[in-house]
Parts: sequence; structure tokens; C-alpha cells
Amino acid sequence: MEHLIEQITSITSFLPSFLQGTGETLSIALVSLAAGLLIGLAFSLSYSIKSIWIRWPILLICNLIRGLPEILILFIVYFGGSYFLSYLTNGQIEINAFLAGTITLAIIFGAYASKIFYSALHHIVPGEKEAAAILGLSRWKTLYFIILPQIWHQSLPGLGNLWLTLLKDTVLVSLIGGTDLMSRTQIIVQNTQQPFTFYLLMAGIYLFLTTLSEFGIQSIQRTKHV
Amino acid sequence: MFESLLSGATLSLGLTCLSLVIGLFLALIMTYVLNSNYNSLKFLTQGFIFFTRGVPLLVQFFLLYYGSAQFEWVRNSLLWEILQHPFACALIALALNSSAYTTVLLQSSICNIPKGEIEACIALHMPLYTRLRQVILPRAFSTFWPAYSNEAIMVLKSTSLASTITLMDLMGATRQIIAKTYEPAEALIMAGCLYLLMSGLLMGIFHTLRYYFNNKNNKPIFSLPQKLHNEFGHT
Repeated sequence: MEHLIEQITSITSFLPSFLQGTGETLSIALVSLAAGLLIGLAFSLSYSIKSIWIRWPILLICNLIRGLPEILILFIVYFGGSYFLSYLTNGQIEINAFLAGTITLAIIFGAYASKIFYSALHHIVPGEKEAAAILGLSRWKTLYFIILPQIWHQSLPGLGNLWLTLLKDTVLVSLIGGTDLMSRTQIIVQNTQQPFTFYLLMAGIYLFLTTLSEFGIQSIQRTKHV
Repeated sequence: MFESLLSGATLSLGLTCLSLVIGLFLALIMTYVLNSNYNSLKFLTQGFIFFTRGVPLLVQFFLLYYGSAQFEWVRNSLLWEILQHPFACALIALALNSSAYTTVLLQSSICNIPKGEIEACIALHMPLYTRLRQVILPRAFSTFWPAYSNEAIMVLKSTSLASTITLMDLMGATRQIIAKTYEPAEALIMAGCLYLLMSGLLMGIFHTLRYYFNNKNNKPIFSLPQKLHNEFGHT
């Protein structure tokens, strides 16, 4: 009984650190979600450009990203980014773990999302574009008012799955030394020598986040249908 | 340098194939349980799938490899013989993870079969085995297999996470080379090419298997009336 109380007090003393780490993880995930949506949209729109000099390189990049493991892309962005920045400034610059992690996750999200957006773009009837042109809407207005709402509606289930993957992939940032939930838990484990307890606690936090976002996705889908 | 990468790649490929086979076996059992009447077992399976799909794989690796060492009784028991090896831990975690995802795929492909077909089978007094062999499985297979080949690629990609628990797979070998030489570019590019080769190989295997199975399975579907006539003609 005393052992249990001791355990609980030790866990509660680390709660602030856990909360900070959760905030950091969530901010990485949300920033890469926003950037990834933009990248995915840009990629999917460029698939239908006629010039093969634009279309093929983008298709190649997209398929490369989808075929390589996430860690490998993270390392390429981390080491490659540091090398590139050092080369530009003739000094020793190391890229921030937060930045490298966000860029990597955004690129991966964008590559997968572009396929979803692309298949949604195919479902739009060409007559709608023609109708918009006859009404005198500009290109951007057609994209914003006619095409985007339909794509959004079509691709919401796929994007929901991608968001869950993205949320789980945020643990990878700890491999290049960030201050997210996983890195903080690793430090706590080193201090307390209780890996099972604290990793399980972290697993619980991730379960909570994924369940919460699943409910969120479902409620967004329901409002869209009505 | 290339030799260590190549041996790492064979380890990755072996880990992928083993965990896919074990995962598929477990998934078949779990799908059977989910479609049966054992309510407590069903509840356990659903809980397991919920946990495995909601928690990052890296955390599962750490829970199994580092977490199991926290308890005295695990270290003294026979389990420790298995759990102290990173390869065994990676295999267990990957197989369990892939089994959870595969169960969901199997479940959805079985649910997608039109109910009328199964009712028709029951109306014809078809025994369970024939029903499974001739109608349900071929039908479910055609939707399951493409999704499962994606799952195989996902497993191959997630074997790279095993390098975090000191396993010397392709990613582990790459990280070791980077730590030794401080020259990440070559090793990373070579590892990337090897990963692409391996996923290409897996895709090729899955495509040929699909072709092979389809040729075998198409016959029973199309010759169903004939078979029915042979088996149930006298009733």
C-alpha cells in the first residue's frame, strides 16, 4: 500500500513535465497539419499541369516520400538541412529539432494527402468549372468557392486517417533530440528507472489524443452531411 | 560499409516477412473471435486492437524492450530469455501491430460481402465449409489483398523503428555508419535505395501471388452452379 502511494506521488510530481511535452507534441502535429494540407493541395493541383517537366518530378518526389521510412526522411531533412544551412553561411549551423520534425511530418502528410485530393478532384464534374467560367468567376474564385469545398467534403475520411498517423509519428522527433512528450518521458525514465510505468502513462496520453481526434473527425463529418 | 548495409537489409526483410506471417495468422484468429459469440474474448480483442492502433509503434517497442526490465519477476522468469533480445522484442511488437491492422482490414472486407449472397447460401443448405471456401473467402479476398499489400509496405517501413532498440537492421546499420564517419549523405542515400528496392520486391511478390490466387479462385466462383449441382443435386 505504501509502495503504491509512493508510486502515485512520484507520478504526480512529473505531471507538469508531461503536460508541457503534450503541448509541444500537439503544436508540432498542428503546425505540420496546416503546412501538410497546403503542400498536398499544391501537389495535387500540379498533377494536372500539362508540362511533364513539372508533373513528373513532383510525382517522383511524392512516390519517393511514400516509399521511404519516416525515420530516413527525418534524418535526410535533419542532416541535409544542417549541411545546406552551414554551406550557405560558411559556419556550423544545426537545424532545430522542432523545425526538422515539422518539415518532415508536413512533407509526409502532404505526399499522402495529395493522392487523396487528386482522387477527389477527379470526382468534380467538368461542367461545374465551365459554369463558373460562364458566370465570370476568376480562377482563384473558382478554386476557392467551387472546387475546394467539394474536395474537402470528399477527402475528409482519408484526411482523418492521415491525421491519426501524423499524430503518432510525432514520437519520431525524439530521435533527433526535441523537447516533445517522448523526449521528456525518456529523461524521466532515466531519472526514475521505471520505464514501464512512464511509457505506459505516455501511451495513455497518446490513446486519449487519438480517441479525442477520432470523435472530432466523426463530428465534423456529421455536420458536413447535414 | 556496403556489406553492413546489405546484412542490415536482409535482417529488415526477414523481420518483415516473419512478422507478416505471424501477424496474418493472429489476425485470422482474431477475426474468427470477433465474428463469434464469445463476448469476453470479443471485448478483449477489441481492447487490444484499440490499444495497438492508438499508440505509436515506437512506444510499443520501448514498452516491450525497456519496460519489461522494470519488473523483478519478469527478469527471473523464463520470459526474460526471449525479451532480452532486441530481435525477439521487435518481432513480437511488429507482429502484434500488424495483426491488429490486418484484423481491421479482414473485418471490413468480410462486412462488405452483400448479405443476400450469404443468405442465398444458407437457403441452399450449403455447409459452413463450402460457404467459406466457395463464396465468402474468394469474395473477401479480392478486396482484402490490395489493402494487405499496402499493409506489408507499412510493416517494411516500420521495421526501421527497430533500430531504436539497438537492433542492427538497415536503419541501425545506417545510423552506426553516420555515427562512425560523420558523413550522412552516402549512407542515407544508399539506405534509401535499398528500402525502395525491398518495397519493390515485396510489391512484386504480392502482385504475383494475387495473380496466382485469382486464377485458382476464379474457377470455383464461376463453376459454382456446376459444383452445386454435383454436391446438392440429389437433395
